[in-house]
Amino acid sequence: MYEPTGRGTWFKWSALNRAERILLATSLTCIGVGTACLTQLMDAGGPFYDLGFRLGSGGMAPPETRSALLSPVVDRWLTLLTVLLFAVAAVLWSLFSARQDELFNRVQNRSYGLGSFITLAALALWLAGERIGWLPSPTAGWVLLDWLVICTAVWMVDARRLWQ
Amino acid sequence: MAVITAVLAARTDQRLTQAQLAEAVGVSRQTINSIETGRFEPSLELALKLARHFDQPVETLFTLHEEG
Repeated sequence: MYEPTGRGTWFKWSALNRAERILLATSLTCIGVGTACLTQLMDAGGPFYDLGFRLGSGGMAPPETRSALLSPVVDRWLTLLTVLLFAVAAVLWSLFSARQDELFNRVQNRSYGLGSFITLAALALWLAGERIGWLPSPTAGWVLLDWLVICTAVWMVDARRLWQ
Repeated sequence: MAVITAVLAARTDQRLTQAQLAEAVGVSRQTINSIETGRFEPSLELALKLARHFDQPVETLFTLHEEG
């Protein structure tokens, strides 16, 4: 059974049984690798690439005329892998959640609900900003990443409030 | 209205630890702690499990307190 520590900000690995450990570790691994793939897809030639280029080249700016860094084939397979990793992570996480108690699920459901609401509100603002030309178009990758970050933040706040 | 809980008193009467009570009703120790300190109001199912464990009516473990 999931037992939080640090007022809900972390958990006791020793309190989980074998099946829960496998489900949690595999799910978190899939989320981590999936997020790495997602950021790779989102930033092929983008601002983080620029930053990495400058750091690696002692401040030299990347060439202006660079083309897409990922070939279409790599892009397609990386997209497929990313979707697959997130799908597997979601299924394993739901199996893990089903084994936990109601306080865990209440915190989790609240973080999904409030996290989704905040993400939608942010997306509405983003789209408004795009229409008046202040912001670039939102992409599915950024929305998914925002949702993950906001849900995690809501979890942390709720966990600190409810768990000791 | 606030829910007042007597779970802590019932547990100490039976000389149980939070971990023992948690295992008996199938929740984590922190959930028992959160119920006892009033941070978390359990579902009807968990409230009934606790009442059955202590062999008490559920309304003696959880009472409504009208404020003001």
